[in-house]
Amino acid sequence: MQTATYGLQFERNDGAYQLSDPAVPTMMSVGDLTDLVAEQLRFPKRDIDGKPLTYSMLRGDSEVAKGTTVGDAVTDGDTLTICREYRNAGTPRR
Amino acid sequence: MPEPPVGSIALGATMPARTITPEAPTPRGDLELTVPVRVGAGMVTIALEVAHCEWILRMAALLALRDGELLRSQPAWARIVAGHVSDVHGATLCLQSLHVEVSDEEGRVVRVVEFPRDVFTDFASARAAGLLGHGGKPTIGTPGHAAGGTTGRVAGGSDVGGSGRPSVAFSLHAEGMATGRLSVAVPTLATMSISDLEATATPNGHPADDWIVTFVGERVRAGFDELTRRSRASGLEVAGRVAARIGFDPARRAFVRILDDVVIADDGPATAFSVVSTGRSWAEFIATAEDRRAPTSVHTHIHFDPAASVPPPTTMSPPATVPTAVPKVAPSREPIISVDDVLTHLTVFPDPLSACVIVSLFDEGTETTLYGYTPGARLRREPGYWLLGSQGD
Repeated sequence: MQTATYGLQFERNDGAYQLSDPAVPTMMSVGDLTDLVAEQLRFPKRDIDGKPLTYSMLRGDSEVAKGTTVGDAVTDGDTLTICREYRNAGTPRR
Repeated sequence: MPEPPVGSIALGATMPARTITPEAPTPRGDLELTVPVRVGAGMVTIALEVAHCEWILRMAALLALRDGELLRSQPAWARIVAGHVSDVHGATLCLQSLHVEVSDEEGRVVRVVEFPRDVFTDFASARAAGLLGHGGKPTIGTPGHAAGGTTGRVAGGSDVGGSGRPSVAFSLHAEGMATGRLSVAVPTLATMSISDLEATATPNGHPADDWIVTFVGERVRAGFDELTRRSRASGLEVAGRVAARIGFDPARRAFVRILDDVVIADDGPATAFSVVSTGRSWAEFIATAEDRRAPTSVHTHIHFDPAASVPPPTTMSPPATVPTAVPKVAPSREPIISVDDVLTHLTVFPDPLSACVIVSLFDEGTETTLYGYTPGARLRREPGYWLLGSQGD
C-alpha cells in the first residue's frame, strides 16, 4: 500500500533558506518533522553544552503542535516556518 | 534612475527539493570542528556543527557582495576550509584560522575570507561560564598562549581568562579539511544613500560608518519605551525583535540598516536576569515585519532593584513570577552584554546585518546600547547610531 504524502515547503524564520519536500509522509509526527527540517535548513541541533535545541513549526501565525501528525495538522502545499527558541541572560547560566 | 537592487537572491537561498529523511543530511564534507576549552584544571570540548558557523558563512558572502565579487541575481555557495595549521595532534589539526571560500553559481571561487580562531572566543567563554557558574564568570582578555597537556590539549590556544579569574584557554581543532559546498544566503539589498539618510537624522554618539551605518526610526524608540515600561513594572527582563530594512550605498560601499519597528515577544518565561523568546513568538514578527531578513534582537537588562521598584501585587504583571529579592545584573552604571547574549546573537541572529540591542534599566535612567557585527565576524558595541525623524520636522 502506498504511503500518503504531502508536498510541503519550509523556510527559516529569517527567510534565508527555503526547502521543498514533495513527499512528506502524513503519518510523520510534527515533532520529528520539525527536527529534521531544522537540520536541513542549517539550524544547529545542539547548543554548545551538547543539549538539544528547541524549534517550533509555524503555520501562518499558529504553532503546529508537535504531538500531532502531518496529516492532521497541515495541508498539502502548505509553507511552514521553522523558528528557534532562545534565551537572553544578563548573567551567566547557572 | 535608481540603481537596481544589489544582491543575488530575492528572498533567500533555495535548497534543492529533497525528501527529508535522516538518511539525507545536509552535505558536510569531511570537516569536523571542535573547540577544546580548558577551564582551570578541567577540560571540556564543544562539538561545532556547520550550523554553528552560519554567521561566518554569511559574512564571507556579504563581503564578497560588497566588493563586487558576487554579481547580482546570482546564487552563492560557500564552504569552510581548514585554515592555518599551528600544530598537528595525530589526525587532528590545531588551527589558527578557518577559511571560508565563496563561490558564484558557476562554481568559481570568488573570495576566500580568513577568520581567526578567536571568532570562537565567545563560544569558549560561554562554555567556561556555564561550568563555573554565576560566581566564576571569566572575562575575555588578551589572547595569549596556554600550556598544553597531551590528549585533547589546548596547546597554543587563546587564553580568555582575565587576571584573578579562573584560567580559560581554548583551541580550534579540525579533523578533515573542508565542508561540502553549502548554499549561502545573500540578501537582495535596496540601493540607499547614507548621505540622504543622514540629512534627515541626528547622531546619537558617534555612529560608525566603516562598513555599516545604522539608523533608528521613531517607532523603534517608542517600542523601546514600551519594553522599558513593561520591564520596570514587572521587574522582569522583556524581549522583542526589531524589524529592519537593509540596503547598500554603492557610493560609500557600505551597508545600511534602518531599524523600523519593535515586536515585543512576551510569551516566554522571564526572570530579573533572563528571558526566553519562544519559537512561537516569532509569528507576530514574521507576520508584521516589512523585511525579516536581518532581524535585530532587543531585551532589557535590569540594573535596578526590582524588589524595591515593583508596584504592589495587585497591579503586578504577572504577579506570580515577580522575584522578591533578586540580584541586579550589575551594580554599576555601565551597560553590559553577557557572553550568553553574545553567543545567542552569533547562533540565532547569524545575518551580518543583524544587531542586538540591550536596554539597560538603572535606578535612575535608561541606556540603550546597540551591538553589531564587525567585518571580522565579532560583535562590537556600536559607538553610536543615527536617529531618524528627530530634527523637528
